[in-house]
Amino acid sequence: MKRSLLLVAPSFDERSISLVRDEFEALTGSAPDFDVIKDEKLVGGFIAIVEGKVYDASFSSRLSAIRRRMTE
Amino acid sequence: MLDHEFSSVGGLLKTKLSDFDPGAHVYDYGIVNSCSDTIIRINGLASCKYGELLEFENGAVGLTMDLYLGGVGAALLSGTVQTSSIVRSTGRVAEVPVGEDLLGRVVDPLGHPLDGKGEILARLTRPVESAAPAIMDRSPVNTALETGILAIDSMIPIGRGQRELIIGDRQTGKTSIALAAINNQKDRGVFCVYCAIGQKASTVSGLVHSLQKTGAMDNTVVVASFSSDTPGMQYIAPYAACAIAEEFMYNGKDVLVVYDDLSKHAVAYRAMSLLLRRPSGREAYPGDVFYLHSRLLERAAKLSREKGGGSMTALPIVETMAGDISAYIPTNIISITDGQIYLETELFNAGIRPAVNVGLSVSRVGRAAQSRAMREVSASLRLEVAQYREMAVFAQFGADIDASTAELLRNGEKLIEILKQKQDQLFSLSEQVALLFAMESGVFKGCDKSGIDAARTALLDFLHKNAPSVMNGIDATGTLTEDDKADLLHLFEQYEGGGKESAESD
Repeated sequence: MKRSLLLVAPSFDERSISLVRDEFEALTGSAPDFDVIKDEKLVGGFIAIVEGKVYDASFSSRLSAIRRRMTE
Repeated sequence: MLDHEFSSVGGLLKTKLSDFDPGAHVYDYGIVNSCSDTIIRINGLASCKYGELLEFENGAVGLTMDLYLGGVGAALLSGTVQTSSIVRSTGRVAEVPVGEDLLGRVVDPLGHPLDGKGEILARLTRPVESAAPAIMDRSPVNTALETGILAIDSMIPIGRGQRELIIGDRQTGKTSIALAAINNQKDRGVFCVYCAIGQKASTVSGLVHSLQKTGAMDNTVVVASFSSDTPGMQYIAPYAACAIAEEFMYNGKDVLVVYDDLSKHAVAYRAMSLLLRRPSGREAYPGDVFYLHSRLLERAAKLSREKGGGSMTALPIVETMAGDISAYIPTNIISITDGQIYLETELFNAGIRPAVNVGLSVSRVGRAAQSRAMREVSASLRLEVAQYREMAVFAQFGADIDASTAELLRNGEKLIEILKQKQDQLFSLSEQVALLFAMESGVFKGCDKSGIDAARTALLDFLHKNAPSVMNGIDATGTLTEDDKADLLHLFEQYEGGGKESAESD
């Protein structure tokens, strides 16, 4: 469970990735060593998988959530 | 008007999104440790709940079946998984689309269409597992659910909200009885749900075509899990069918649900339980196999008027091996249901169809679920058939029999012929009542055994032609008044006095 993954939209640049890393350092107390994967299915935003938890800040998930809310 | 509609739609969308949180979502994830025979062991997912749906990296879906420290065990419902792939708990239990949009459709247990008619438009969903109605929400079962089968409606009546088991060996006509019951609900305002569990796709296809041919598919939903589906899909199929039926019931409608069959359901659950390494008990079934079926069948009910007065009638089917009704699953389900219709291979092979063994069949709701008219003409029928069967066995050995026993045997033979029915032949209440009343009045006395079928058809044609008001009256009111009786007796005399020949020649 030590694996840390960062799935990002193709539009994410190095600066944005470093901002995400800094935020996680502030949150967990240590800078995670991310394997960064670019995934166009995310549309925008990122998904970080750190220490058994998924932090989903992707546009695709938000759009899905909006769709679900509108149709339920 | 148009502006008003646009503003309403805009308002609705705004309301729906008013408390939407666009922030990041944080949830647990797990990693697939092993996957064998559709059972997956996952590390992580510490806060996952029992029965929760899981999403796998490649879109596969699983159902949590086992919780333990450090991980969970899940049954794969669809797709394939690889070890070390990431799993997400969805926070949702398995749900199925419900509502009238499903009528006429064939769906899988997750509500995905299987009939090629496009997307299901249902906007409502229900969890496949839910609690049974409470005691105070129920009302007694006192309305008949007519199957159109004379032997059943007269001797083993089924009430709306009852659970009646159809049990018998393979090829004894179990599904045919359930199908006849579905076909008979056409134009009666009763919705039907047919759930195929672990059946061949060709069998389900044939069944759907036959329902389409009779027009009964318009008020029927078919939930199908095939023998090629994972045990997980077969396991949730009856619960999904029950959820679809429940939606109708809670909206005040009457619904008939058929589970075909629960022995295959138990086998699928046994496979899952053994793979999950749960301790096995009798016949290698897990200890909670009784609860598996009791929690499903308890959801069938007749609701009180305050709760809308809807009902869900359940017809579970169980296949026995070599007529053994004392096996584990049959005895379990016999004890859960409110009666059983026992079908026998010997009777089926002897041409007695439906092959109902009257001695072993029972309806625990009894005559409360029968219309007054039927109650009046069928009071002693069960006893007469049972007596005939007993005597027939005795007479088989060539024993000397007295005149009264010979008469009983002759009458019994005719009675059995009257109760025989072809698969696509359904009798309305008035036809059933008229036939039994005619039998009681001795109309068929002059007929020999082989002529009963033709005489029966001729009599019904004669009655429909000459007394439509009496027949319609019985159908509409469910009662057989003294006037109706007198009219029928008069018509029987006319039929015997000459109408018979003209009706037969027609």
